[in-house]
Amino acid sequence: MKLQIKNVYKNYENFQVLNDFNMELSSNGIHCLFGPSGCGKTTLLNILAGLSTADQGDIKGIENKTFSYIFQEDRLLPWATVEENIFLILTDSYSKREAQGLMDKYLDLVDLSKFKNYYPEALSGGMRQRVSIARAFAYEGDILLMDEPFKGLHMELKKTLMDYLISYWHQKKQLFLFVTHDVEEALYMADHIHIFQGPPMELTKKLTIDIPAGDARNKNEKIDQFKEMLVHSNKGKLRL
Amino acid sequence: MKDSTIISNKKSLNKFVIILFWVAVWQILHLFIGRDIYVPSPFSVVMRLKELIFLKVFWTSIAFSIYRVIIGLFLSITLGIIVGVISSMNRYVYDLIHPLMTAIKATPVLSFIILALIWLSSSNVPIFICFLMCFPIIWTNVVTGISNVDKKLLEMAKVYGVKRLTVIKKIYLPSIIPYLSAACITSLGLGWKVSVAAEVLSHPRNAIGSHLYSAKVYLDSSELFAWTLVVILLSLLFERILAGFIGKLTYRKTTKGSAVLDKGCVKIEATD
Ligand SMILES: Nc1ncnc2c1ncn2[C@@H]1O[C@H](COP(=O)(O)OP(=O)(O)OP(=O)(O)O)[C@@H](O)[C@H]1O
Ligand SMILES: [Mg+2]
Repeated sequence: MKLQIKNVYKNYENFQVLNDFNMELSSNGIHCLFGPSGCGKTTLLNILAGLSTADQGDIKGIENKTFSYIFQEDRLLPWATVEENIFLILTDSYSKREAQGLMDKYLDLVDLSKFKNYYPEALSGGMRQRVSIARAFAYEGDILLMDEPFKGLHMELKKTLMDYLISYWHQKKQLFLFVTHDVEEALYMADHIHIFQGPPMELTKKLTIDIPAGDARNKNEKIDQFKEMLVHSNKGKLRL
Repeated sequence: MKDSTIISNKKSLNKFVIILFWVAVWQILHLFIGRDIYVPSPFSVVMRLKELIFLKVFWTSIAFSIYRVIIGLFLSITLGIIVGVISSMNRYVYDLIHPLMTAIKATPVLSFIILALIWLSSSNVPIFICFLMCFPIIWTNVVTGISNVDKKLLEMAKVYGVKRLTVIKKIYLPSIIPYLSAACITSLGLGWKVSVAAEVLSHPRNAIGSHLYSAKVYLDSSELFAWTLVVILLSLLFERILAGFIGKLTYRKTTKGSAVLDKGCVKIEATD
């Protein structure tokens, strides 16, 4: 099964973000969307998640799929505690017992078990981001969309989460789609890196990395070549 | 809110001192003008109040006035919420209701009171007037509250397949409560004022307003002041009770222990 995006158009008033956009993704890989700020990455994810509709075009391969989405912003309810925030999205899809289990598991993963009863406003930006990550993981949707999921997190936790994602992916072999501006992140996790320019968004290059994701890539010469390519791919317009 | 930030670094005056100051101003004014009929002395007002509280009619009047305000507020709050929700769900309903609310807000209360005197029995006039004045405030704030619900949170709920009922309970309701509570507090103050004003003109049998009216007829300023004082005190008392109740709803404790008021100190204009 493949995710096929065909001849998609999306305008904001007279501003073209997607103009006859085409892309094809294997629906069982970790894909990285890489491109300059404002080129339309979030717009694309929103269309896939069904939050925004394309003006024209065809998308195949996501019918009846559920999504876990780590938004670019944390999107936490300010009047609900960390626990209540996660519980909110589990309550209609899981039994109470399952929900409790999922919540505990993922809050522990993002190292926030002690902050269960905190309100978002009493958390730092990075902590809120972690809640948002825990929420997405806990939902266990069929497709995982991540919009700069690790921004604001320090190296150690970032690595824990990336390793977790990689092992999680090995269990599920689903479609993981993540946006990042971080070259190291892209090279650590992705099987495929799609490099864009825009707006209007346009695929300029696609790198496929056939070395297993994770630590195996750390001291690999081939990765250095990819790095070189990535850094130069957007004519210095990258926000690193 | 603003005042407190301006003066928060200074020591605030003792409440008792503030009251004493204004009573002194009143007394000086009384001495200066020198005629009880214009400004009675604080002492004579207090004495009159002391006489009044031993009368049964004092308490029945207060009870019935409170009853009318409560009924008026209850009607305006329930209907305001219901119509507000419907208007938010349906654009046509909103387009029809909106000009009506603007018209009601712009119409002088007296026009409505006089009209109500023709339509209704004297005891129902204050209830109707209270309802009519508060309803647009509640409606406006409910509609504003609903339209200000964070779209990004709704999108989040949609992606995660959260059911409609849960969305209403966990996202809509908490977003609307600050608007609704602000509207309720404003309505309470306004409700008292217009309801007593309506009583003055409709003079039902047991009513604070009827006593104000007879004070006017007999040119009894001490009585006028005494009853006015009663209205002010009752209004303050009710505001306290309501604020306490709303506080329970919206104040919350963070685990760090500081009480935080939900954001949304909503300012609404009151039509007097
Ligand atoms: N609601 C909107 N109304 C108008 N224009 C919009 C809207 N949302 C996005 N845009 C425009 O669409 C373009 C793409 O936005 P998008 O958020 O998809 O960028 P992005 O690639 O995610 O950027 P970043 O890396 O900074 O998050 C931007 O140029 C932006 O100006
Ligand atoms: Mg974006």
